[in-house]
Amino acid sequence: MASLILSPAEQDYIIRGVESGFRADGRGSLDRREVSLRTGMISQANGSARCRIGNLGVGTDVLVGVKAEVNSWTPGEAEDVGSIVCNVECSPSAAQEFEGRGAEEINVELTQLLDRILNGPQSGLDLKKLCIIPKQAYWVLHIDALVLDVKGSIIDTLVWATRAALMSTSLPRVVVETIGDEMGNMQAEFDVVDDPEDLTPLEGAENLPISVTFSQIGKRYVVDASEQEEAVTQARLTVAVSPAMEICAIQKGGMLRGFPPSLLTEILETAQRIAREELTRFKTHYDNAKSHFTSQADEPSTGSTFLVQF
Amino acid sequence: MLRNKSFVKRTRKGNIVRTVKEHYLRDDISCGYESCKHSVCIGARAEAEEQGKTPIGDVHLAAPLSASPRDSVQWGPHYLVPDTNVFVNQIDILERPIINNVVVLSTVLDELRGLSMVVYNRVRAIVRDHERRWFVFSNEHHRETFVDRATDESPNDRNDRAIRVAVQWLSKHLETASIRPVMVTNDEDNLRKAAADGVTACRMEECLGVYTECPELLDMMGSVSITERSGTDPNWEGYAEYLSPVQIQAGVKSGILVQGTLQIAPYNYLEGSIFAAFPDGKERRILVIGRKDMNRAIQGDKVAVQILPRSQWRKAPSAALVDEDEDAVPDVDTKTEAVQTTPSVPDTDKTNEGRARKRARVAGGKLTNSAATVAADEGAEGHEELGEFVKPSDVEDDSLDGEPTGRVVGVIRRNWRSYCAFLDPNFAHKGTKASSAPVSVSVLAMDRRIPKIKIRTRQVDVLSGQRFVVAIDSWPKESRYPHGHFVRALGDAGDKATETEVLLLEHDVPFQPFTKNVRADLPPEGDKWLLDIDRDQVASGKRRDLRHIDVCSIDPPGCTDIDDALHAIRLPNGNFQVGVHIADVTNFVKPNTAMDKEAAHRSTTVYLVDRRIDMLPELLGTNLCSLMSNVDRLAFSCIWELDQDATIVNVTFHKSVIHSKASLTYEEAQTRIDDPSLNDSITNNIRDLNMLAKKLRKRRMDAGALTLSSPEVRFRLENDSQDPVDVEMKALKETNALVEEFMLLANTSVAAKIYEHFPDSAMLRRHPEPPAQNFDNLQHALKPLDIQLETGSSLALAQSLDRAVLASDPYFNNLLRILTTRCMMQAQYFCSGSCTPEEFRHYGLATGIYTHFTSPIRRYADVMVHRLLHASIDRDAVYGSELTDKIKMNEQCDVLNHRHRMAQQASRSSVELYTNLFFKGKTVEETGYVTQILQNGFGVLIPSYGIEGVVYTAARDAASPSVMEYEQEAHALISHDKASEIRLFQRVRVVLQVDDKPVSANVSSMRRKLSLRLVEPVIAGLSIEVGELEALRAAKKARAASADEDSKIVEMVAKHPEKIQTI
Repeated sequence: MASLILSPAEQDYIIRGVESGFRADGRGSLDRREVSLRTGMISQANGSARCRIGNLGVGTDVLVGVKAEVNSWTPGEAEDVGSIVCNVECSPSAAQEFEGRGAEEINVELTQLLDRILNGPQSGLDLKKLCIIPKQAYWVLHIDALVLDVKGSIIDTLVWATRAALMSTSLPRVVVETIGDEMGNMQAEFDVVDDPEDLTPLEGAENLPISVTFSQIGKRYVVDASEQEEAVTQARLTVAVSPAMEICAIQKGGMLRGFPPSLLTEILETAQRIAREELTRFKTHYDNAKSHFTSQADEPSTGSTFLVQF
Repeated sequence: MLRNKSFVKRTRKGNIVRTVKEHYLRDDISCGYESCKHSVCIGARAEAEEQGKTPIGDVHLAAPLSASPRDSVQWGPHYLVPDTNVFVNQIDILERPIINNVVVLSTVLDELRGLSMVVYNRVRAIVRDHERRWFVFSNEHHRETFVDRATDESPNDRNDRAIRVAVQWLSKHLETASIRPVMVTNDEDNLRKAAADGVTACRMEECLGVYTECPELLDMMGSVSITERSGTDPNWEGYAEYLSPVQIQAGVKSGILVQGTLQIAPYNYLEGSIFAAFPDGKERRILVIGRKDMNRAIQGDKVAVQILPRSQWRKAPSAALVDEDEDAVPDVDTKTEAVQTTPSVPDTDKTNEGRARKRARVAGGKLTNSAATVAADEGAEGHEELGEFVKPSDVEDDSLDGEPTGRVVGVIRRNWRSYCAFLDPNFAHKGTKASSAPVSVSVLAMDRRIPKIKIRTRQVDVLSGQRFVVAIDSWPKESRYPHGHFVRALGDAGDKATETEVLLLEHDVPFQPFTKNVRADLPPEGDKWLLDIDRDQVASGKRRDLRHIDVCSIDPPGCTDIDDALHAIRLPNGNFQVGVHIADVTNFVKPNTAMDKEAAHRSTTVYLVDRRIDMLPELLGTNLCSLMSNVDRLAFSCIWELDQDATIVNVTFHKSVIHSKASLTYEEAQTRIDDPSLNDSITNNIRDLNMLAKKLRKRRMDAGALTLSSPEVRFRLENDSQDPVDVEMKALKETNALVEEFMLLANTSVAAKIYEHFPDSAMLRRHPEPPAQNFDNLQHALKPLDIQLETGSSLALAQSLDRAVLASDPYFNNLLRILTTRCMMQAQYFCSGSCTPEEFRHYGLATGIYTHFTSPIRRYADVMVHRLLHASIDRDAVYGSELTDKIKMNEQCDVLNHRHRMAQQASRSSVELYTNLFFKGKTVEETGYVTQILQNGFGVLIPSYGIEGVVYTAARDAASPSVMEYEQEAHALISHDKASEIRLFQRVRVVLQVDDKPVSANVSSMRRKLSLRLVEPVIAGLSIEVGELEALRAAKKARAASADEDSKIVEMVAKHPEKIQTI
């Protein structure tokens, strides 16, 4: 990921520290940093969330908006499912190397990763529920993620934000009516209920997986690697685990080394354990964000005020 | 304080968008009461004055609500606060000037905008009128009156609550002034909740009870409670439910349904049709027959139609519906309907039998209630049994199954307007003296395509024999007729002024006097206006000085708005210089001024028999722009060099100033041509012009221009009373053709010029080629006469029309031309960017491109063309988007086309009105020609009066059987004894009569219809009995002897579109 250039002495310091069970910021190898989460700040979107891991100024910050659109079915597409389209963009202000076309590669990598986690039955989302009229119209959820700041562990932050955004997503209610001619041909058409309050929450969003990314440093691995730790990471493994403790997706990154199979088994087991903790933590944060959002409904939710609170 | 408001909606492309708006709540909103002592309100008033909104009279614009509003016993001084539905249903009442001091809540205004743009704009207009003292209270933006939507509260309930909260706040706020705001609502639930909240509220009826001096207000109440009024007709089983809008959308998209605008046949309000676009891109006519299938749609509604199975398609021609005694027998139209929905050439034994039975019943003359119900039931049954419904894509033009027929399954957009109407005479007796209890009566609209309308009124006695305006409120499916309410009275039926207003209203002609704003745009010099060499740019050379040329104008007698003049000069090289000079209206009417907007709205001057509704104020039309003789007038000149064969050598256009030497009538000009002793320059000019015009005409005819005919008459009106005393056909003289020829030439030249400069936004006029099917009936009728019309091109048609002469009847050719005209398409204005150049053609004139340039005083299209032409010739001309905006121009074209059609119809109706006045009390026997064959009658044209009417074959009374049978093969009516027949073009003798019974006696006298009765051929049971005829003839002779002494007769002929009629 974002590469910080460290002197050999610094690198040695971090690697040896990790190998001895001490991380530069004082965490244990499986400890995660603090998280802050808010939802519903983009009023035009159907769902949105912003997640930051780490403290203000030294954390990874991702903003995700979910926009639902109606697509008309074209032959060749699946007949009765909706779809999800992901797009991740790293803001040039997040890191030096994202300037110009520097972010292209990482954008593609993250987009594909997100797509792998979400687009499919394993994600827990029932895509059939996104179909409005089979072979005619379906919802497309456009998930647009903007990485605002990078201080390590970008994937986990992204998944947190996306999960929260989808959980806060609700779709306008549509009414489908049909008309038939005497030959038994049916024709359906839908209309949207013009009531901003009459919304249906996205079904199955609470089944979405959470990700845990392991970074191998020296002979050991850590979760939630910091920027410095990522600079010395030789291999990386992201494991997405659903609330049912099933592993939904695995992706390896980092070109320098591979994982021995024995380590892999250990990682997967650890992943499950961490995921369970993370899900609980997520729920607390999400409920908090949600109640915060509703209790402050009267308040302006413009960007500037939001930042101060964050 | 700031909140977000959001709403979702579906865009036209099908996507769903969510819109979020910021909503600010403030605490500096004034209550609108003019002398409110609250600091906020004082501040608001002061602020408004600072911004320049000074009070008009004693009305403060920021706080118009009066300190001494209407006082009433129950509420004291009060303001009205109506809810949304009251506005929607009772806007006609609220518009009355007597209703003032009304608070319009912004909640209500927002809801109105969503419900009905028309009502919204009407409310807005009242609010703008400061004398009404209406005030918009922004309760939605007021911190103390804004309400959040509670959970489980519907948007409607929330708005109702917002209204109640606002009224509550206002009453507290105004307590010290002891003025009470009164919420007006007809919603039971809302009334109950208001009572619980301690909000003063009342029903509309109670509120109107306060206005004791205007009892008719109660009559104007829109009908709201439907249940109360339905169920009056036990024989009526109700209409089919409409499909939901979403279903209609789905149906239209998939082709199960088609959509179009319902057009009702002029002779039969139970027969309608739509022109629907089909998936293959073609447009076809779908018939919709009978009340049930029309399913509460009326003339002009945009409807969705399902096409019926082929076996139910109609094969017979239209039947004319005699509406005389339509409701004498309550179920008479159920019967008619049953007959009509029956296919005339049945495919199955079942229907064959059914039809025979029904026929027998009809022939039996009496139809009992139960029989009618059975017939109707059979109709309904037929719908289900007779096979599959037809998909629109299967409909073919050349099908032998008859014409495609459908039924309305939903209304996409209503086109209800206000209608001029009169009381159904059958209800006239219902009025009880001095009773204030309202009675339910039905009224008949003047527009015969509109069904009867049920209204409630307390003034039956007053209304009987009157014309008045009604509006339709609703048409519940349980009710046979729509419900409406009285709007205002117009006057006595038969009164000329009333009838004229009726026809102007019915044709949507704007006839109010010009407003102050419009008059302010007139030149300040008024009729003292004189040419100014510098101001009018003559000195600078921008405007050419042509005052030395011998220009003259030729117009109908009595014409005061002269918009064209001509000249011709022999050039040294033997060619001619010919100039057409058109009044320079655009010099006075600048774009986007109030006058220009008004002219664009009016679009055309409307000529009635006794008056003219001007497009431009009189000062311009008949004075400053009119090219009168012996004064300097500004003109737009089109000057050609023509050679001896009248071929154009070159053409130039100039703004100019002319000094006409003579304004001649057609007759005077003709006399000058014919008088060899006259040799002055004007006369010679006219002779040269005449010579050239003949050559131009010849060339045009060779190219295939059509000479069509329409019967036109003019009335001689008595000087004082303006009553018609004589009627004559308009005669065409050679000089008419002369002027026409050069106008056509000018129009064509100008069209080419403006198209060259504005290829995308030139205002042109086209006349589409009529499709061959339009001629089918005519061709069929001509077959026995061994005449064939070639409709392939206009040239072929013109030639075959020239050949179609019957030695036995010199009028035949004329008649044929009249009928051919009816097969033509309407010519229309269009913007060049909206059509391909191939579509520019003008079929009737056989030119590739055409426009209107020569009558800017009376047509707005010409005004636009003048501006375009000026921009084309003058590099320095400054013009805005009005000449280049394609979309705006297209919209204006639609307005122009609509207004022109309406103006033509209004003129015709005016002639009809005068024809009726002329025949009042007279009985005339005349020769006529059959122009139309209907199932139960035939149309007759009487050339000497230019009028057309229907002879009903069941004329004696509606219930009696027809004495003639329609024969499809021959397209003729055959009498039962097979002895006589009526076919197209046949010459007949008829007697013309106008009932002189008192006007309120029956429907036909209310309609003031001319009735025709057959004399020859003699058909038993139909034509007039010999004895009666003799009596009529004798009476006529006696009258003729006494009446022939009218002295002061003046010819009142408006300058009519006779010059270039129909083109």
